Amino acid sequence: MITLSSPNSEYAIGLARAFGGAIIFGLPLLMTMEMWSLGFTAQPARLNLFLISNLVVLVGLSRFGGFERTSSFSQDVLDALAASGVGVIASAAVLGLFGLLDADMPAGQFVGMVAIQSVPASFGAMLARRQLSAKDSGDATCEKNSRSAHPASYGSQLFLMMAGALFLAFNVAPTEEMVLIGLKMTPWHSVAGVFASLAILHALVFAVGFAGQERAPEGYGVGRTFVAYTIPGYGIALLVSFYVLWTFGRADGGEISVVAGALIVLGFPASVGAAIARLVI
Amino acid sequence: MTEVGMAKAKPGENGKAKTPLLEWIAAGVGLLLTLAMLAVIGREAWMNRSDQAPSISVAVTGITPTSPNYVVAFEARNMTGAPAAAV
Repeated sequence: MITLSSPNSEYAIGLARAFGGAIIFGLPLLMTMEMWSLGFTAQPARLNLFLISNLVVLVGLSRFGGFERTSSFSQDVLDALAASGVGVIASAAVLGLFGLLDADMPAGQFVGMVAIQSVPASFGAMLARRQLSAKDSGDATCEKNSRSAHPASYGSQLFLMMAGALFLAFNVAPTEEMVLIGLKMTPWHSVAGVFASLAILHALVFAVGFAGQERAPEGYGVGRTFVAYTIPGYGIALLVSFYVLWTFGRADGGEISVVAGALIVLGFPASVGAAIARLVI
Repeated sequence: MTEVGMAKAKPGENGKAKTPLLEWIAAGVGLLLTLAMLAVIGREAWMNRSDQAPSISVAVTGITPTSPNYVVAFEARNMTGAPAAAV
């Protein structure tokens, strides 16, 4: 019992779960062909910016995601770095297993390939670690108490929406289908897409509840929720979509109408991601 | 006062009083890998490889005669950082 509950072995179990989470969240993209080349066809400066943003998001997830409520900022940084490392190792291992990594590849290609895959994997590692870090007995009630005592702030709820949108947008953005769907949709489809995204976001925010809370705050009716959560949520989804498209070089040189069409296509999964952030994160 | 002191020493009922050694190691490995990744990609960005042309070398790896034709297996390798598509 003493050996089992020592902090190091507890942390080791946590790391093992983090690897599990990294593989679960990373696999769909690890097995997406476009992702294998995106790491070195994307502009390196943008890729680096994306990796740094990912670290910041990981620190935020550790902070706002409910993971170790009492932890300090330095604890969050340690967790984010560990999740990033787990993401890199898990991605490299799976890519290697699939025979996609080659010892005589140029270093830039090798690193780019692993780096871009490490983003969703590190996300998964962080989410898995959140589950594990809660110790077993009586912890569920403890967490609930702490949650009702300290309801998540508005800013942190918007942050979680952003993280959810980023995750889902990133999961679909690399594929060729994204471009194809954008071309298939007429302007009328796009307009319908905006309304459908807003409707789904609003319905899910109501059905799923708010990040860190069981139900809508007192005095928040349909109208106020729409203004306070749905509209900002969709705005966040569109911004995140644009950022992902820009990172992958898909927003370059396109006509504004084409980019807007792609944003609406990507904004749809992004708004679903924003809405269900409460469930996933 | 003592309660505040206690809370500082033991953050929360389920929090860790002390960061386990393994956590430092995991974070250190993560930091190293992340910095190495940023450094390699940063170097690519710095070298501005867009002026570089892709250089593709093709090497025949084996020729097998089949009934009317030959199957020639070859390996194309791009040795530069510049991407090459539709070769």
